[in-house]
Amino acid sequence: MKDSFSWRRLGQVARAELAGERRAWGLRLGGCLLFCLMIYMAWNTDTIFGRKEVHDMYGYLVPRMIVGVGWGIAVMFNLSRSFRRYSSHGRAVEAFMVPAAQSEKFVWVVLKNFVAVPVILLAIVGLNDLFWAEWLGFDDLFTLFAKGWASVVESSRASWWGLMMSLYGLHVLSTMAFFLAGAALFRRHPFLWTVLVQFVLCNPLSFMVTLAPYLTWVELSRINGVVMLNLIILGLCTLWMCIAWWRFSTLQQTK
Amino acid sequence: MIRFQDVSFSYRNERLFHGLNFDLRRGAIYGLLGKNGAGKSTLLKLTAGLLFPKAGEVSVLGRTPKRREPTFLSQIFLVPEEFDLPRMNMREYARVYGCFYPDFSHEQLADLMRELEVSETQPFHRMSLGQKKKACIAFALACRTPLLLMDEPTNGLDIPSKSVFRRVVAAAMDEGRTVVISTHQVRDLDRLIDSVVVLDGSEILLNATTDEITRRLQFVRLEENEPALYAEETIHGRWGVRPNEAGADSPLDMELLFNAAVANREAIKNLFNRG
Repeated sequence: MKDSFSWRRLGQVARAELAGERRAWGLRLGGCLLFCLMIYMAWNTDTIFGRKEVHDMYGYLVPRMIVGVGWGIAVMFNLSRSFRRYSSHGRAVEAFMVPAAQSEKFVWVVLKNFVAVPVILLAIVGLNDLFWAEWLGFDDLFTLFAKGWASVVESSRASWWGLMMSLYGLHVLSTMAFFLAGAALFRRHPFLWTVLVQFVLCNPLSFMVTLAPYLTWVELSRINGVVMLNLIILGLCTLWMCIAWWRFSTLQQTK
Repeated sequence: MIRFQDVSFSYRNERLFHGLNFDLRRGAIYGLLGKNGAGKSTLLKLTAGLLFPKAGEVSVLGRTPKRREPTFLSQIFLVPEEFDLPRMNMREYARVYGCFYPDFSHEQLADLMRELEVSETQPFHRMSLGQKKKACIAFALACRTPLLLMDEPTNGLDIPSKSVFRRVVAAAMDEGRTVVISTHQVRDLDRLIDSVVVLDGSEILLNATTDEITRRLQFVRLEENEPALYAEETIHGRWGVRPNEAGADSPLDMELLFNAAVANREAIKNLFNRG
């Protein structure tokens, strides 16, 4: 048996962890889908029951906002629980003692909570929107995205827009990495503590990121500012991941 | 097999061990005895790499537990006192977790589950605590790891199951295997263990085989004022522990041994540290 990272053993870890959680994940994802359906239904009851012939923009803008915020909260909350098993009274010993490398266990946690869960939730949100768009006759998210992408590519400021999109995307990833680090650092109430710390530490950074388009809009040649912000956010993302890994590799089972 | 060298450990403000030294050899079933809060579970966790010593070195099977290397983890199994099993049955559990242990045996698991009278197809969440415990013990033995640690394994087991437990653990033993059982319920295991470790006041008072113990100590019924290392009144008279100067045989009484070790720490330490 080798001690270095093994993709095969990572697969075994994944299989072992998921085997006992099928029902739990089914309920969670089903609950998310139900939530999305209920929110869209709540804002379109008049149209559904024929009391209004044509829907208005509130029929899709408000549900999209609520579902979008819900997606964010669900993803961050799930990330906060990434290492819950390692502090759980009943499951911690099993989690620590499974004969797999620390790196494999960490990579599995990242793949599941950082990649798979957000993508699956995004797919649920998108398909739900597609369903309602088809029924009520407004542009679904995929169509909107395609139209937006086309206008950006044809725009004279395509590279600037591209950098701005990448900045916001990296900001989301960095926030997710921050919650992952919080999950490793805080054994009790990790979500609440991470939100608090984020509020204290990251507000200046969020302010800066929000201001970025206004700072750089005036002089298009000053694209360096946006590039630098991209690099800073990427660096922060890497820092939070390193903190999460360092803390995870030194976790002890104290209960 | 297991070596603790000048190990110190503390929980936040509570110091538990300071300069702890002891060795456990291969091929023995150790009973780890101690009062509540003495550090028995902590000792097992330090051995398994679940906790890191503040100072000193812990060496298990020639490796450092805190590195948590897969090769090390595949050679050790810890049955904790409390645990939560996932939502599945033993067949599926063995399929997804057995692959991590190179010597895992599905046949042995099936035999053990049968002996312990636990169904392989019953989901864990529908089992009682005792049944889950037996399932966990069966899986631990079927992994066939060179080192098996058990924290209060007989808690929650009924009387017949305790007897089966002793039988299956004894049957699973060989020269290359070591079992360390932390327990309060010494009477459940006194016919199983062949070496005793007594932990008290952050130190090892006694680490000896049962043969050595019965060679140096006598467990007898005493007269009214007869001197002894420790004695207690029972309904069958006054029973106690005294040095075995005459070299007489007497059956080992774990409870008396433990009480004697705690009551007469220096005498016991001197007796077992001599030559």
